[in-house]
Amino acid sequence: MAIWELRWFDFQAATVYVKYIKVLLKEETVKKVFLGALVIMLLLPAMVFAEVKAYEVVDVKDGGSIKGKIKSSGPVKDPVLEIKKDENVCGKSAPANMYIISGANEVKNVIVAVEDVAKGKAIPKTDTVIDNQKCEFVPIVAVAYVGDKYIIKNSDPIFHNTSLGILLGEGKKRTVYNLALPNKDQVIEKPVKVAGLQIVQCDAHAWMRAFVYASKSPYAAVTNDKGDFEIKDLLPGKYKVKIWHEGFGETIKDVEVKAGQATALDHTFTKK
Amino acid sequence: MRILIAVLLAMCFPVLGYGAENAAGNPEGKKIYDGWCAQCHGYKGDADSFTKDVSLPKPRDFTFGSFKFRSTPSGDPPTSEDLTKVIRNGNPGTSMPPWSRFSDAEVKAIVEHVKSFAPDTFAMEAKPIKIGTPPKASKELIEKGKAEFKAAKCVDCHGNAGRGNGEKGWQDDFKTDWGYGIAPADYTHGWELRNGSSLEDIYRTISVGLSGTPMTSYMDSLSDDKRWALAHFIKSLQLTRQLGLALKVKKTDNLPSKPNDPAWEKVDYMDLPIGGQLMFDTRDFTPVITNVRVRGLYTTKELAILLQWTDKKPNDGSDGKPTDSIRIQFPVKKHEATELPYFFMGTNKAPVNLWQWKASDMDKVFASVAKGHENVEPMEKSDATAMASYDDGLYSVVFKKELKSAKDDPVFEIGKFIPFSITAYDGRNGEENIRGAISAWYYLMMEPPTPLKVYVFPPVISLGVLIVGIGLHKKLRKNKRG
Ligand code: HEC
Ligand code: HEC
Ligand SMILES: [Cu+2]
Repeated sequence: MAIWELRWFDFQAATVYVKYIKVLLKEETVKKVFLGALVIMLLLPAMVFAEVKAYEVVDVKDGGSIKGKIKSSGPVKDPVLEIKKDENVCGKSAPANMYIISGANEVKNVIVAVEDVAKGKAIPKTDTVIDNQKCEFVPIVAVAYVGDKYIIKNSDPIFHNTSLGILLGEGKKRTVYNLALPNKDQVIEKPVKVAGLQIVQCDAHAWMRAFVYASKSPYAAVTNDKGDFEIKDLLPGKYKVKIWHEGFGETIKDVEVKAGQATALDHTFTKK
Repeated sequence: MRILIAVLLAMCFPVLGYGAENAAGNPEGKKIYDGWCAQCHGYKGDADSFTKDVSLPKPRDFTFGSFKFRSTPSGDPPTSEDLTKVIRNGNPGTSMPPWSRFSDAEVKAIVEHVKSFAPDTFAMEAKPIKIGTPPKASKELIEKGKAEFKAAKCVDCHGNAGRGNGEKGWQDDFKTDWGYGIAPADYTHGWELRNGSSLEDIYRTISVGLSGTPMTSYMDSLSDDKRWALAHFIKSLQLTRQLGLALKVKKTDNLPSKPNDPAWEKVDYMDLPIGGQLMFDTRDFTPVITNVRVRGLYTTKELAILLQWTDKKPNDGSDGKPTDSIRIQFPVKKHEATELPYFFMGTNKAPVNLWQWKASDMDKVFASVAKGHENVEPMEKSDATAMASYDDGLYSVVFKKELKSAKDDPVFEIGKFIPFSITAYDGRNGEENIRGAISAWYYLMMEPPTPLKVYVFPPVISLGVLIVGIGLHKKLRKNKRG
């Protein structure tokens, strides 16, 4: 942009940019910037070398499985959502259903996913339904398979929009889909293309949220109300397993799968 | 500690070299990008730049892989043509400038470099949606669009009159992918539509949405003809912006009794572009009010000035934020053949007269005399009055005053150019005192009952006003192109 292309207000802004540079040069800031750069540099190799390989389908005979139970170290109170919009449909308050924990401290809705599986059995033909029901997503946690479909529904007589986004942390995301469902019983089908852990949101109702793990392999599961899960027919070998819960957070476990055997993988979360 | 850092640095070095090379999808594009784009979008495409705190919206962080301006369905990356278009045309209503200085080959190289910041996103195929021929505008079609606007719930976000003031109050929670707040677009300001204001542009926006924002894609839920009808309706709401330096004020027997009286609509108007106050602390880098429409009428006794502007969420100061407000400024003395006072709150030598209206005190005028922004004295007596309304996202404020003037009053003489300027405040945006959106000096003229044939400007106009005027005209021209 040549100087004569600048607008009047740009000129004014230019004078204060100088001031901002001065702020930048303050010691404290320099340190922060430096440390930030360092962290990025250290992470860079991981980012650059994380090559995306396509999943290869092979015949799995005499595979092994991973089986286990996810628990909480104690009871955790489920938050209550206060609702101040569209109350006639959404109600005045609703349980968040974030902590669905049994009397024996078994945790429902934990995602257990074997990461970066290069080959294994065929992906199931299971489409993933996301329904907008009384201003909640049903289900709240689900697994979807790359190559299958999302079936997004609106069962309410009000507007919802369903937006899926890869979680990038700190309230940030990368939109995968953002679809309007203005009418009751609207159904939209979309292919599952992008893999990863996604948050499902509705811009109209900020409290609405769900989570979908889009998996490239068939080896992912969600715990039931007994906290149980089972992942079958894995080729023998060493795997990294991601265990994730909306409220408790994430942990990664090393698991070795042996032919014809079930490897136990239990985990107990502690609420911080 | 130093040694540790040095060791860590040494460790990273080869890797960094590799990474940087790998990231530069196109060396020529990188060179141009680093020279012209990085000061806003960051050298790594992550928008980590010193401009990010002084612009609204903030420059795009390309590393997220979310792109607002696409011709492709929700979920797909933009095409190379989409990126080229934004680079060539700029982004109306934002600090993203139009770039005409580069050759087509250079823009192509830049586009390749921009894509390299989000390899995952651009690994997917990008195929534009089909945009057929738009149906011809007709009253029926616009009516159909209006009905659809309610049925498809656009109204919930964008408001009845399309000013971005949806009644559902969802806006407070709106977030972008990048984690910033955002408000629905104001259709009446067609010149600020980021994705373009033509019929096809609007159709495209409705169909595929703006990725990373609450503006969602309607391609799967509304039929093609409904989306065209909507585009026609939205187009019909766009104001015809009239910029100029002077406003004609006609004589009337009776002034309209209310600020939102339909009689005002027949009166000549002028649009004042306004921008953040950047000369003094506290500056306003992120103003949200961008246009004030001015109209005037006078009687044998009184002058009335109507000011109208969009505010997506009215605010009377009761929630702890400052109140919404507007202020009009005149030179205190007759200034003919003398220079105009400094355009922001005058100086010691050339004071200005300020009338301020506040949403917290609907029918009151706070009158004061300013000799510079740090020297403001409330006036003990002023016969200026105000009345105000807020309708569907639009503030209308009428200032009235008798033509005869006392000591510290402005002078209202028929047939003479009367300088005035405006400062507008959006309380929700934290604006008050000298933090607000300001205009340059403009003029109004009460037309003598037998109108002058030609408008002759006062012989001495401060050079500054001219330059500012030209600057603003240029801005308009640019936006028109965009
Ligand atoms: C003065 C700051 C500034 C400069 C310089 C600048 N941009 Fe931008 N750019 C912006 C802002 C601000 C936006 C975001 C507008 C929005 O969010 O609506 C933007 C948006 C964009 C977008 C749109 C992305 C999308 O979501 O679709 C592209 C592409 C882009 N810029 C490319 C460039 C390129 C290439 C250059 C250099 C030739 C450049 N910009 C220079 C401020 C700038
Ligand atoms: C959930 C809230 C929401 C709904 C519902 C919604 N919009 Fe929007 N819309 C937005 C937001 C937020 C923006 C501003 C995006 C930005 O500035 O980047 C926007 C922007 C726009 C724009 C302007 C884009 C530009 O070029 O700047 C148009 C046109 C538009 N919407 C049309 C519609 C229509 C037509 C409908 C109904 C079919 C609709 N919107 C429904 C939130 C919504
Ligand atoms: Cu909703």
